[in-house]
Amino acid sequence: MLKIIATRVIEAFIALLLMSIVIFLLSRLTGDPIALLLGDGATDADKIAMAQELGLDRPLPVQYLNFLGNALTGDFGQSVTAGKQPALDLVLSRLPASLSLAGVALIFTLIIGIVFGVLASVTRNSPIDVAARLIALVGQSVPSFWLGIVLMYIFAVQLRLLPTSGYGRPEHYILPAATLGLFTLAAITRLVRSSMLEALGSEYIKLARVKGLSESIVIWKHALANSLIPVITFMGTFFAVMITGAVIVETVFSWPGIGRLAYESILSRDFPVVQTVVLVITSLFIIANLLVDILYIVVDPRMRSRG
Amino acid sequence: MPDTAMALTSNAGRFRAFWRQLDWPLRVALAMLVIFVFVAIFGPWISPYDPLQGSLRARLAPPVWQEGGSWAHIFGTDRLGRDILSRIIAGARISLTVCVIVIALAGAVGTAVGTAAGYFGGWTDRILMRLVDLALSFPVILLALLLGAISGPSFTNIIIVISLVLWSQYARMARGETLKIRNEDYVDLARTSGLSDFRIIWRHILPNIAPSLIVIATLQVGIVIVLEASLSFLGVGVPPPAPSWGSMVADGRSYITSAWWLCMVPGLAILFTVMAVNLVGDALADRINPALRGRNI
Amino acid sequence: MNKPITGPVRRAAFALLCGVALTLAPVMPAWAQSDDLIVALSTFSEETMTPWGGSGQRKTYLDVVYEYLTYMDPETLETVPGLAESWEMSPDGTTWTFNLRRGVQFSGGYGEMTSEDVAYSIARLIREDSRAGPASPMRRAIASVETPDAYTVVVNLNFPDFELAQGYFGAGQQLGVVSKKHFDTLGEADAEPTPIGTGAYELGSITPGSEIVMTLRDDVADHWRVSPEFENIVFKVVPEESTRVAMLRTGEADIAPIGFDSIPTVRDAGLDIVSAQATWSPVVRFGGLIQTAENRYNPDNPWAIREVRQALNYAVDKQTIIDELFQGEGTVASADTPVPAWLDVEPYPYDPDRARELLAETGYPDGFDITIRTFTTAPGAELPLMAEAVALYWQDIGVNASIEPVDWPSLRTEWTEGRANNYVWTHRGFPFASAANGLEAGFMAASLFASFTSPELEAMIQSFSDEGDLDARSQKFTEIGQYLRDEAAAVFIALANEPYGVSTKVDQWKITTAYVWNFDQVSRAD
Repeated sequence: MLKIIATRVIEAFIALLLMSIVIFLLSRLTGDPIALLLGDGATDADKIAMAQELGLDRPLPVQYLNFLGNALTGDFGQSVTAGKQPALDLVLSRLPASLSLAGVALIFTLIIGIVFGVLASVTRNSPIDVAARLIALVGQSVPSFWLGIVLMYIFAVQLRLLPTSGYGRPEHYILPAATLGLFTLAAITRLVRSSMLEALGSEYIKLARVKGLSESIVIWKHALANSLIPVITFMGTFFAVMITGAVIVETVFSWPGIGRLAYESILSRDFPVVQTVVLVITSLFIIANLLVDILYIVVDPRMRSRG
Repeated sequence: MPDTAMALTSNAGRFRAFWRQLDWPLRVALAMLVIFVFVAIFGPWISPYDPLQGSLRARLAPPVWQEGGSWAHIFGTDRLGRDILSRIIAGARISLTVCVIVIALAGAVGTAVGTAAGYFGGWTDRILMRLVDLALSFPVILLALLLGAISGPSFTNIIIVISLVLWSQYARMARGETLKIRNEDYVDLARTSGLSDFRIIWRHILPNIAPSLIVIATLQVGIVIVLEASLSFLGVGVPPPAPSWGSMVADGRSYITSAWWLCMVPGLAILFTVMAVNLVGDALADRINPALRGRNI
Repeated sequence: MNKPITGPVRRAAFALLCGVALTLAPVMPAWAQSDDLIVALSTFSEETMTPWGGSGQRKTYLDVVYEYLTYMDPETLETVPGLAESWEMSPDGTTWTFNLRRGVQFSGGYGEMTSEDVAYSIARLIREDSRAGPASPMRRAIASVETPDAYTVVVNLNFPDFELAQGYFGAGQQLGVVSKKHFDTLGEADAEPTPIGTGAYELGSITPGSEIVMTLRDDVADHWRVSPEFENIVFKVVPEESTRVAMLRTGEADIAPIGFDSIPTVRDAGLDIVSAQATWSPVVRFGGLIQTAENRYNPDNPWAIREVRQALNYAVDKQTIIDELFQGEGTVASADTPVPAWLDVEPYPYDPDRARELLAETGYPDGFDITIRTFTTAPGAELPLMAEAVALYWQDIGVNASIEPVDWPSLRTEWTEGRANNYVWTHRGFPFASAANGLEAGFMAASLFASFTSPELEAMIQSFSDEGDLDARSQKFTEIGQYLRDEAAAVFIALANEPYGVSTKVDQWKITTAYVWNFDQVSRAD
């Protein structure tokens, strides 16, 4: 088990390194922040001076090695546009907003999705089941950018039940989290429903019933425990979906997270921030997948013996 | 010719029997898909107006059922006075084109990688599958944004980016299925008879794993449509004035309180099309390979 | 498997329904009842707090903290005293003396503002690492700054600037006066995040990427310039226009810049529209027209011929674009910059026949292909739309335009790279800080951002810059405007307004000039 985890960690580092090269090259292919930073009326001399100041006049490999060397000591450079804030500080200051939104969305989708999936599977073809299947279908089909706009229009503008946007209070979470979470909710509901159906028809559940265990224990303990494994397998993917969705949702709801920061810094060619934000997001991905792997080993007895 | 007539009636009969098996949501979904494909293919001939030509004086006309709407523009007109119905029709063509190219490209690459990994095993397998893991852990939307920002939005970009997201799923599936049948008798037999590895994969493995791959492809159609729309929404997808459904929503979003149809109509077009695709995909998965159902994330 | 709903399942279902009901229950919309003035902006730009820490876009929130040497009277458009009570220019325009107002106090207990502070502010704004928009031309212009006494600042220039007081040192630019003591005490790194100015507000709190709260100072009973009515001004960054409009409608925002097409909805919701008049100028610029620089001039572009450029101007129905796309918020432009002196220059009328004639005469009877690059900025969300509209009109005269959306950084990079571009692009013109510098920046080969010039034009601008007589200057300036129009240096579209939606919480607010924001002068409705 430890060996698996160690291998994973090493692979994660290689992945990060590759990613840093890709991002570094891509972000420098065309367009640089100098043209944006120069005021109107600037001359060639101003341009050269600024390139020197920002270190953008050196050859690309040198720039990359500088970046890498500094990054290893925790220095990701300074933001080019946002004053001279350290890029890492800037990214970390936006991280809590994104993580809390993704966290809230994930917790609620997990709870609602599992409850819904279980209810649907034990009451097959009942109205609850139909509703669950409909939510699963719509949730996997609706584009989140459109959903966000529509939800805001209905709940904030027409019904005045919720704030349109903003950050800080509990009520600010509802619409963005719903937008961000609907796809995952649909996925979890489907997963739980279909694996519950499988489990409820299985021999060992029949056995449990024969043993005279109460129906609620059979459903909520034995069948569900078994059905959660596929959900865990996909947790990493869900996390990825959430981070990807964050770029769109954070823009629509003015959420001060790293998704919007990434989008804005790409648009302003703020290289240090782009590099840092992508590396941070990738690290989050990799950590999440690592946790899922460990969780998987812990939950699934078969994996444990194999590890 | 009685023979032909017989064949026709029996075909019609078979179709009726098939149709009767389906529950009504599936019938609706199938019908919608047929309409989608028909509209996408024959769009230029059935479109009431040129989707790119508008008149500034006729902009933001409401749809026919709204006050002030008219049958001239059933879904109203957009910010430049272009007919929304015509743009929806043209957008269907873009969606379908992107779907076909992406699925062909991602499917080909993914299947090649997956079968190679599964068939050869060992280091080939290990390296290729790490590559797949890497692809799965990449924040793809950021890559798309970078690419879009660098080279401007273009059709080629969007194809490359979406293919980069999707090929890994084929690779995983193809590898798994290949592993299952790699040691079957008929594969061993082919190997001992001296067929080259390429031929074995082509003749004996591919045909056997094809059904599962087709299911994946169907289940991905919806994802492709939504991804294309999302990227176009962020301004790095299909460049204007081509009417991608995603960029139509993006263009219309500032009008949600004044001219809601600008963003509602293309949004619903995406929603209904993807719902239909997913329903049909699930049904197909049930028939071909039930294990895949509910696993298309 | 069709079992009736069992006990625990039913309980769970009930709990779920309760949860959903709770979420949907009408909550007191606390977010809509704030006593503060809430301003929703599309961007905080760099989100830095010093005058030199970034672009002038940050003045939206910094102008309530920092003050300027001179201001502009909103009615008469005359330059009026600010932190400087009076000023004199030497006859040759190279020495300016500013006499400072006495008794103006910095916030945070940093004492009275003196000439030391002004000198420090100037030095810091033009330092090499300054990110302020006008830093580099100001650096070239300013030779030295002297402080003969605590209330006098003398600025010596390398070459004449006849408009320094209302230009670079005015409220429309970025010379906000900071406290030298503040920076001396804390050191640069620690002082920069806290803005200390002489304005009526100071920084209350900041949530990065989300909110900046400016709080009324309690140590100025009677501020020399303004008498604010709001305890807090809350600036929120809301990039989506639809969200800003929604916030106005729900009372979550009191003032927000909006797009032209949102004007009717905002009015229908019972809110006011306040427009800053003619603050920016949407325009289509031509590539490769720097005739005095070989690497930036391409005589093979069809629009290298003056008549072709004129034809492209005649072909566009600018009034319809203004009426329909800009909701009437603008006037047809004869220049790419809202300059009062050029208002009398006659714009090109809409005349597609004349356009076709000109094309035929110049050897393009069947038109040609042209690429329009376009992007969005704030203001300027309408630029891509305008590009599509222009393309529609050009189609009419046989000019086949294809639109390439790009983003501003890539375009700006190509623009300043010293090459002859073979496309045209949408852009926006802003008012000049000073006429001479504006002309140099836009129309002389020395500037990286020049978009058009010719040997005659460079000579005209040079002669204007050297002219010391004010009447002769204004004469020469008008002639330059006429020349730019006749040469069709760009496809001029409109002098456009910048509309803001204003809630009923606000009684009186007017915004008059570009780049000056006065959220500290908003009065409260009863």
